[in-house]
Amino acid sequence: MTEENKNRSFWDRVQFCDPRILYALFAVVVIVFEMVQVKMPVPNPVWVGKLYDRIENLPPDKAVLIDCDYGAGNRGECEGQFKAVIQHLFSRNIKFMVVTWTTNVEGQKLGRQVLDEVAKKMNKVDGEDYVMFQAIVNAGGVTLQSLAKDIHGFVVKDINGRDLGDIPMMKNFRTIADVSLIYRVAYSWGGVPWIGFVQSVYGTPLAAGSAGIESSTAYPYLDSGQLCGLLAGAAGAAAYEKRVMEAGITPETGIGTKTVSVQSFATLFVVVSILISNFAMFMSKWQGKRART
Amino acid sequence: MSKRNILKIIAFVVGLYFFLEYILPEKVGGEFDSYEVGCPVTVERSGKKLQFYVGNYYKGRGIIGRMVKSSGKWVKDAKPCLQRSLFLKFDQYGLTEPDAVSAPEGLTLLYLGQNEKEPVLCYAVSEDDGQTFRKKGPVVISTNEVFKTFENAPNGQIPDRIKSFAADFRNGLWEVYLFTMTYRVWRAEGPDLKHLSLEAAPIVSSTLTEKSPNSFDVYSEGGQPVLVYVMDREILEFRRSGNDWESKSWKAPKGNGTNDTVYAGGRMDVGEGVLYLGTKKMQKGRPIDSPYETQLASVALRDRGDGTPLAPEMSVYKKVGASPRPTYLSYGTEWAGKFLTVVGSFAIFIAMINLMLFHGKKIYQSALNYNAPAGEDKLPGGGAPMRNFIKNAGYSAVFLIFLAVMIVCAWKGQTDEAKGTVWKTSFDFLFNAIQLPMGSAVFSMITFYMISAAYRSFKVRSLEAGFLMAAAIVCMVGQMPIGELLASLVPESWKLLQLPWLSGKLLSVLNAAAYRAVLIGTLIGSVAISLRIWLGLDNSVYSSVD
Amino acid sequence: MDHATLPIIIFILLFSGFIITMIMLTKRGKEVFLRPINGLKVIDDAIGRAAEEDRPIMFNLGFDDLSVNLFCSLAVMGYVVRKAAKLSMPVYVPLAQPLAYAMAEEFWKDGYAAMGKEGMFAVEDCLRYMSSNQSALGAGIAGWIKRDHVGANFMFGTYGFESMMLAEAGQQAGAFQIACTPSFYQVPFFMVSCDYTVFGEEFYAAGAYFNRDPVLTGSLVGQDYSKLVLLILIVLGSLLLTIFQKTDYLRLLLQW
Repeated sequence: MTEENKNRSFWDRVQFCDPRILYALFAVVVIVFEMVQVKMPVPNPVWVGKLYDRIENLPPDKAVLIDCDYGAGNRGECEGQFKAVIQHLFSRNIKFMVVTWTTNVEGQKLGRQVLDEVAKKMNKVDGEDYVMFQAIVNAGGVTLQSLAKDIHGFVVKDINGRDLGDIPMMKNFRTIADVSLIYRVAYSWGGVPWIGFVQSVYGTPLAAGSAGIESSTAYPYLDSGQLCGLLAGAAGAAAYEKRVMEAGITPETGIGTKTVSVQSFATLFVVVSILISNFAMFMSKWQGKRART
Repeated sequence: MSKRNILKIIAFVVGLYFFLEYILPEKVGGEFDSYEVGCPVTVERSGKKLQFYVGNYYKGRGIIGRMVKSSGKWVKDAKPCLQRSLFLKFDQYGLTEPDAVSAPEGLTLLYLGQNEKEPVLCYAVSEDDGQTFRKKGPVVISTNEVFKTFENAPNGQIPDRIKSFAADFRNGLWEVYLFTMTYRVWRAEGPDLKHLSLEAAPIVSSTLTEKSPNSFDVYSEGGQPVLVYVMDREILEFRRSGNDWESKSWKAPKGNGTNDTVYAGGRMDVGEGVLYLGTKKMQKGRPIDSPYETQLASVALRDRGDGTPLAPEMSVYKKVGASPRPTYLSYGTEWAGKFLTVVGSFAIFIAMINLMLFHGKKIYQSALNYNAPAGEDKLPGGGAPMRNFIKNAGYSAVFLIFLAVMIVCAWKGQTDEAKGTVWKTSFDFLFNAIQLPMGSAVFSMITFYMISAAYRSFKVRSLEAGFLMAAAIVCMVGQMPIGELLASLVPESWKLLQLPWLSGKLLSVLNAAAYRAVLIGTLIGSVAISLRIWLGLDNSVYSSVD
Repeated sequence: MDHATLPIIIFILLFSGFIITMIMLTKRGKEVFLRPINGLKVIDDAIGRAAEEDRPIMFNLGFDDLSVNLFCSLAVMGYVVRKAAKLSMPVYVPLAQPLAYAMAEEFWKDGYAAMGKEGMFAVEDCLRYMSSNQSALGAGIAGWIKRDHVGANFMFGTYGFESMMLAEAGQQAGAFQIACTPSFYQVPFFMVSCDYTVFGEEFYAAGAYFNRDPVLTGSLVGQDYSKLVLLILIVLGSLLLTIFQKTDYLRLLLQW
């Protein structure tokens, strides 16, 4: 114990404790609950249900456009969101196109891994049931406009280097008019360019999957109808996985459900530590007052 | 003139260009049909053979162009004759399926205007043989439970919608046949297009074909209507036989003629038979048999009257690959977009050079220091062995080595032929086993930092801080399963205490309102600063220029 | 939007009109009151404190590429560099975008040259392109702050999740921190770790705040009038929609 700390009261030391103690305790909590998976009731947010219903009612002659823009850091939350939705789309035989960006190589790689894994399990063929485009340079709204107006002309090739014109599935899907839903999975939902340049111009419904911490900025767009569904964080992923499992599409839930259980206890830890810190502050003040009187 | 003023003028001119391109409606001209052509219709007026067609500069944005037959060839007008209105609701999103009728008040073009709800049947009249048209708004058909026009439709609900139509003017009366989504055909008649009465029952009440036809037309034969349904290359003519309809069909040939779609664009006596119009789809400059293509051409197909088609003639040929350009100003916007992409790609070299300079300098100085005598050290702890070299320049050396390895592996390992080679394996290993886990690890640091920050700062020192903390705890716990668990303990009548419900309301109502307010301020601020930079009023941008 | 609609054109002209009118009025000498923004007032104190402790200053430009936000940040960076140059202090500028690097270098060199301290610090030591990957950027800057024991940390610009890393690293290094960002999402992270946080439109006001140029102050007032118009429309619209729910005519007007 340092000299400085020796002169502090117990409650002061609790208030201003070394952050490494908190980090260590937090790490222990996460590791323990990761190993001991506690079954928790999965939340059922309204907007997850709306997205699910929308996908259930999508017309079979149009495709879905998925913007896969998440990274390694947010895999825990976003991968579950991506995987559950593509499982649902595959089960309904709705074709989809996956867009990735040159600014996020991880998104392409991770998205492809998940896509290949799910496609193999559900016997879906690349080029007939889904296509992943080559990475596109993202210059903001202009890029999205060009993509919406002419997919073949703008994207040109898929991730395997094939011309879009040669891909059987892509012959029917050429512009945004052939898209029934846009679904963006990313750490930050960041769909304002999609809303400004695509959703409000062509009326194509837009849904989002984002990290829980970033999802709060998507709420204004839900009520106004610009976003038709939202998967917020691991809780959103878990809710969608549950629906997909209950519909018999998959035999078990996925990474979202596993993550949300650990997240619960981690959140509880944060709340408890804040309460302890406040309690220590009050006790320290009270002790100080008592010492003065 | 100083350099600064020259730059300001250039910035203003460039900004003005983009501003005009954004703000001007798409009536400047340009290649309105650069993307696609289709829906051709013919009419004869003042001894001239005219053809109108829909040109798109991208899918769903149709504009009507005109062609005139001159010396045996169809000559296209340079500008379109009818465009969508940005400010009227009927055809804001484009025009499609035109039908041209020669009427006493002028050449009348009926068309389906596309808007955000349902297509609206509208019309326009020309007094100069179709060079320019004046819009007259929607065609008004009497109120009917089955069918209503846009103006009468309650909340846009139309039980049966127009898919196609055909119109004619005979014996002082307008006749409009409506082909609807349920495959029924209705007839409306009236003295003018604002006063049409719909017949009580459809003339075709059940489906005559299995599939919906690509196009639909009606002409009169002996006072009786003949319905023309076109299904891809098959042309079906239905004539009334008692209460039924009898059909006669014939097929358009493949090859140089209509490849897959004939369009019932009206019939015109061309001497050798009747002119039907069709569309031919092409890919990369050559006709193909597949129905899925990138470009269209419009051809005319002549019929002897016995169903034997004659050789077709081309009327409009679109160059494959022409990019959509709604206005003349779009050329510049396209070019600017490409320019910026190229500049951005080159800028990465500046960044790479900086990285290499910085780390290279560190290694060089450490190497210099390696055997430097005491007192002449350039770096702390220098003049010593490997330990200090590693301390001072170890990271830089590792960084440069990995950078080089990654560049080589990416260059050599990302081709199709590289599968299974050491380059591909190394690149995959470096990416999957090093970069991805490191990214996850760094991202997870945020959580730890958040805990220490929250522990340190989330102190209830005032009433507002208390509200903030309560809201934060409600939102955090409410979105987690633990919130659901606690909510299950609260009865439904006490919904206000259910954390998931409460957190949902906090996020979607209070948070949304605050976010919108900040967003409005931020966006207006960015508009203001953009305006200042554009008008050259903000000198901070040019501070390094004289 | 691919092309402007009539309401957009009207609003563009109206807001531009307000801004240009107020600029003209302030140029002619109209007095304008600018509410003090605490976060911007203490920039000089932060630089002075770092100079006293002989600790370097760091100025983060955020994650912006060539955009209006970058110009705002650079304007403030120019001011900070000049102040630091006067006190012979180094200003470290980590960068996330290559295009931003080129512009930042000009402003940085210009700042030192204006105070006659050109060449005092090496450019490549002070301006470093870190990475366009947010994780690498955050980790790199956090390491730099802790290694060089930064005394004042300015974070001006748009940020992603790396904001927490920078702010907390600066907090743990004991730096005086001022954050100014239009990124609404990152404000809570800055609030808990920084000494002062400025967000939203105040980020765009930062440039005007220092030099009180009539053009800049006039445009701030013009912005406020624009916001007033929007506020009136929002209140009016909400009231009319609530009162006249079933009248199609007013509904159409409101949906226009």
